[in-house]
Amino acid sequence: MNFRFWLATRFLSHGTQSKRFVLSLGLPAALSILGLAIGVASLTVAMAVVSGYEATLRGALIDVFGHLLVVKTGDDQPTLETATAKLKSALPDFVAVTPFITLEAIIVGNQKLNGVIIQGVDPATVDKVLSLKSRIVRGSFQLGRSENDNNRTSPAHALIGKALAKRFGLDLGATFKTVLPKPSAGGASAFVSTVAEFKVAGIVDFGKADYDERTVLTSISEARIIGNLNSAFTGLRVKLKDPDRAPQAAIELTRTFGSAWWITDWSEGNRNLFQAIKYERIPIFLVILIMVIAASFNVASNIFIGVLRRTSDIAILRAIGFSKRDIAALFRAQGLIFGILGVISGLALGGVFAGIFVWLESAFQLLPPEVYKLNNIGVQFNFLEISLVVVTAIAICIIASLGPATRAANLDPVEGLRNE
Amino acid sequence: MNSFLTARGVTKSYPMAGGRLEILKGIDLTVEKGEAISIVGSSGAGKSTFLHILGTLDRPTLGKVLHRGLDLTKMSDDELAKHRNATMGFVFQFHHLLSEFSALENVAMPLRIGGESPRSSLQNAEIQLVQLGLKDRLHHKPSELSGGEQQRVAIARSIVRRPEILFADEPTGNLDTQNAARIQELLFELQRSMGLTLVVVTHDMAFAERFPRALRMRDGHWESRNF
Repeated sequence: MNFRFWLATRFLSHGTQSKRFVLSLGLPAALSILGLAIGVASLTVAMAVVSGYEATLRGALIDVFGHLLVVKTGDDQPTLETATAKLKSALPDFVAVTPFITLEAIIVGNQKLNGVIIQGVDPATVDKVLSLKSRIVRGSFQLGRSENDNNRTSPAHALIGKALAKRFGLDLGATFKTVLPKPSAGGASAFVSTVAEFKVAGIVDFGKADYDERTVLTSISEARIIGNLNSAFTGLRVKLKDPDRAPQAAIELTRTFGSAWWITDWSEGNRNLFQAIKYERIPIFLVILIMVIAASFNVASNIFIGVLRRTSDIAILRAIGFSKRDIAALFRAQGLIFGILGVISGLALGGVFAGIFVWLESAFQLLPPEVYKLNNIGVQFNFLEISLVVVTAIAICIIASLGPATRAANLDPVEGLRNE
Repeated sequence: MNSFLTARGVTKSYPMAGGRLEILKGIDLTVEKGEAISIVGSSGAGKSTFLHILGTLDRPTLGKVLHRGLDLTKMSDDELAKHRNATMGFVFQFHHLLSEFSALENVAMPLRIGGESPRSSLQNAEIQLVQLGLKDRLHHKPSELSGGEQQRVAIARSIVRRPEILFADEPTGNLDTQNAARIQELLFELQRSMGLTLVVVTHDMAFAERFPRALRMRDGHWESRNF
């Protein structure tokens, strides 16, 4: 260990050797470290919650939406094979595709009425693009009806969002009806309606509140029948190698597919939100950093008191060969030690705070889903952000020690030697 | 030819309301290698200030201090610190031992500052303390030592780097008669055995008279060069 650093630790610990170092710091130093630790912990948790929110939102979108959404808007009726071939040639990082059919409907039950989106997905390929199975909270991944049920005697199986299940009191095995209105030739406001009945096979946590409130998932073949559609699909969901390339891929694909197709990526609908998260990180960091700066004043006063207590020691160290620069380095090292101890305890405390936040969030839903769009927000510790917190907190402590260190360096050794 | 340690026209003054307070008024001194001198004088005569200037702990307002021809007043703070560590030892009225450190660690301190490894510096410090009869006090903290033992540890610290000059400012001023006599003997013995140049400031006339050269200072200048 560097001699000056060793001397600084011994001065701080009143001479105690390393094993009992932390215990020997004394109450004022311990309180300074606690203040720093609370600041560092707040900073760590704030950053982890912001990162966790972004990661949760991103995860939910990618799991449920896929990387790219390719929706037919024109009268083209391409086969899935043709569309897939076109996607493969246009996208060098193409991984998989799955077709879907979307229908708008109304759910009726429990004396309530709600608009829902019935989404028919292809059970054979959906897993290659979306991660729906991992989001099933109860039940199993059963969609549509079995091949033996050609007569359509029983309701088709469906997976529904957990908020929808709660609102309509639907549990596993329960049946519910949906009404699909469709314009008819009888006039501008004329429509015919089709009633489709489903049986709840599973309840899904889609991660996003609006999906959970409105989604009914069934098989694409069932959706085609109840929607009375001729086309094989109304849209395609595409998976790429890198989800972050999706916005650029969407632009490239629009050029290839032309105006008869509406192409978007997973981040499009929440771009403003992602931008806001990105830009809000900096002010959140700076505002909470004020806590660390305030705590650093405690560190400065602690070191300063140490300097005043040690005028005699400083003088004798000068007499036996320490220069002013060495004395300053000794007390700057104390700032570094405070910083290191504050950061270590702050990160540990931050871990505890984060755990408490996650528990409170899941137990009491601190952040309303209708505002934050997500049901459960996780925390994510980002290495770069943690590194930034560590470096900044330690740097602040070293800066805080500069005043007392300069004062110590400029003490007149003759004054220190005059009295015991 | 340059003398070993020389002070030329050393003046020290401090600004004060209505003028300057002159502590030292153009002091000259030449000390040869291995010489032992004492400086006496009443309180406020300027003898401690002069010792601090000779030992580079303070800088003169005017004048020069030369050691082996090197003008110490022109050296930077870093250079002076290295010079002090390598060539000078100090003993003060109060032991000024670092209270949290053992006797061994206190004595090892100048060696660590001089760049010696922890192991080597502790070994050499132990040898020094044993030589001064403190074998049983190596791991004692200063508060666990008697006044005489504390001062002997301070002397061990001052000579452990084998300095050329030992400055002592009232080294017996805080001790009882018996311990004072032991410390006086020890200083003379070290001066002889190590070939040290010894410069001692004292109030104790009997102690001062035992030196081959004794100087008396009064109001910032030499009153007599031998008495």
